[in-house]
Amino acid sequence: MKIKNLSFKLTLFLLLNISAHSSEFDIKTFGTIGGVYNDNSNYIYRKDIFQKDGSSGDLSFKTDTLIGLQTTLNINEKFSVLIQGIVNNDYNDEVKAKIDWGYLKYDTNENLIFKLGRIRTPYYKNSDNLNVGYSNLMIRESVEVYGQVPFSSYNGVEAIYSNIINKYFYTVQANYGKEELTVPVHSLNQKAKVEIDDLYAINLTFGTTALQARVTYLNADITASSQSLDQLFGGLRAYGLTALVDEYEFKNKKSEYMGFGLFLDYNNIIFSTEYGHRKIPSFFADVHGYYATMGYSLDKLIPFVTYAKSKMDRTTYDANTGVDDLDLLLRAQNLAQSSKTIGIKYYINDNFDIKLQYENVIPKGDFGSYHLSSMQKPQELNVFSFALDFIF
Amino acid sequence: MKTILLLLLSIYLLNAQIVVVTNKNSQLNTIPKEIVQYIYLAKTDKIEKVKVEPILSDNKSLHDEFCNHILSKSESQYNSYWARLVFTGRKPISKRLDWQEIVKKLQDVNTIAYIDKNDLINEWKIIYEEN
Repeated sequence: MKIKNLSFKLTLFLLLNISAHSSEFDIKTFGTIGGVYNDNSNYIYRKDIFQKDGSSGDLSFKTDTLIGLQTTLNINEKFSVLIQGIVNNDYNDEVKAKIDWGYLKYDTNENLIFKLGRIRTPYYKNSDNLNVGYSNLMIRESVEVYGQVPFSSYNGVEAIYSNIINKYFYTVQANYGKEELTVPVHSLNQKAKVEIDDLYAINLTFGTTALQARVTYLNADITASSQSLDQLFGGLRAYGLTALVDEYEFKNKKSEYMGFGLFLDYNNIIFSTEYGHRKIPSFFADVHGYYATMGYSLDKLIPFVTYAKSKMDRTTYDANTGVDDLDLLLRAQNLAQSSKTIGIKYYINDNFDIKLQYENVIPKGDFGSYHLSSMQKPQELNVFSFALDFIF
Repeated sequence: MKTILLLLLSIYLLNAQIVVVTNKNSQLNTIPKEIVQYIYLAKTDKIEKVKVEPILSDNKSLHDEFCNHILSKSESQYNSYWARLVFTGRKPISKRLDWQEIVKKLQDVNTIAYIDKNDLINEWKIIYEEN
């Protein structure tokens, strides 16, 4: 792996460690050292659509390995500042440090919390702790659900209200903000500038300590642009193909994400399932997916199995609009696949765990896929992974 | 048969009877098991509108018993849950304390802790006890 900005990272690390000696500061560290072997060299196995490199018939440490720092500055009983940064292999295949989220938190001490700053978007149950392997059962969450939306944080505000009624608890989370990011389209060797405005989300979690349910809805105005996209849709407009432009251009499109989840953690039984549905009326086609995971805790050892599936609302790999460049773009959006995973998590102590898992992935339909492929016809991937997670 | 009875008796004696206690001067009285669970899972930090601070014991067997019988989770499940709380910016429950630290912390009114009932001292009162 190439190491860039090493001096910046070392300085940051040093500053954070120095600040740890101040009583108002709390510094915590987390990380994962993970290796992945995918037996199919026609594919590059990735955990999301951002990653450029991963395992392709070889052992790769790029997929899951990361180190993170979280610092908390408690200003007083109600105000605090929290920042979480990570260092990992980014979407340009370079090891880089970034601030993942960071905000000013105001706790009213009356069950209501406000946050202002850079905040994690609450699509999924594990959105907030996605990078903290020690807190999760599997090495990585099912891409069929967790890989649908290509941005994970936004700049804005969040309000969280929690309370208990009789024997049941509930939490309502409301979010508002905006975000700008560059999304790589590795299969087409392009990058798109994505602007997200008027992003609002609402999330309700309720249940008991053993059984919980979760409902999420997110809405935003999204625009994606790049030189090649602008050329493509400008050309279509010039030729009077306005129907295709209206249908596929990704400009100020009202976009939605809906999610449901059910989670059981009782005695030795662990069960979780989530369903997600992305709706973006553009070339970035609609997709829905789910996973179901079952685990059984044998004290320090937790074996688990998962089945996951994602499907395009309308197949894109056979796109035939009559415009070659548009067809190429649509075909690359195909994310249909299913996967079966079996693995174990072994809890070593309060600071370490190790995990092993085997995943069988079957991409569906020609072109596209979460995992970069030069092949037109889909093939099977057998993926073996191990990870050592730590927290301090 | 005698051996089995002796074994059962030994297991019974080895298992601590866990109680949740607070300072005698606290406004808190008896609380149900669900509230103990919600407090230790950080779903709430209030009992009958009184803000409480839960503390964890570094006594491994006591902590395991508490996780298994009161929270209905294994120690590893609870640790994963704890890590999730800490690294998502929520107000974490403090790291585990030794006996001297627990005694000191319980001088604060409205701090709660789980202990072996045999270790109960006069300055404390029981707010939850398993039947």
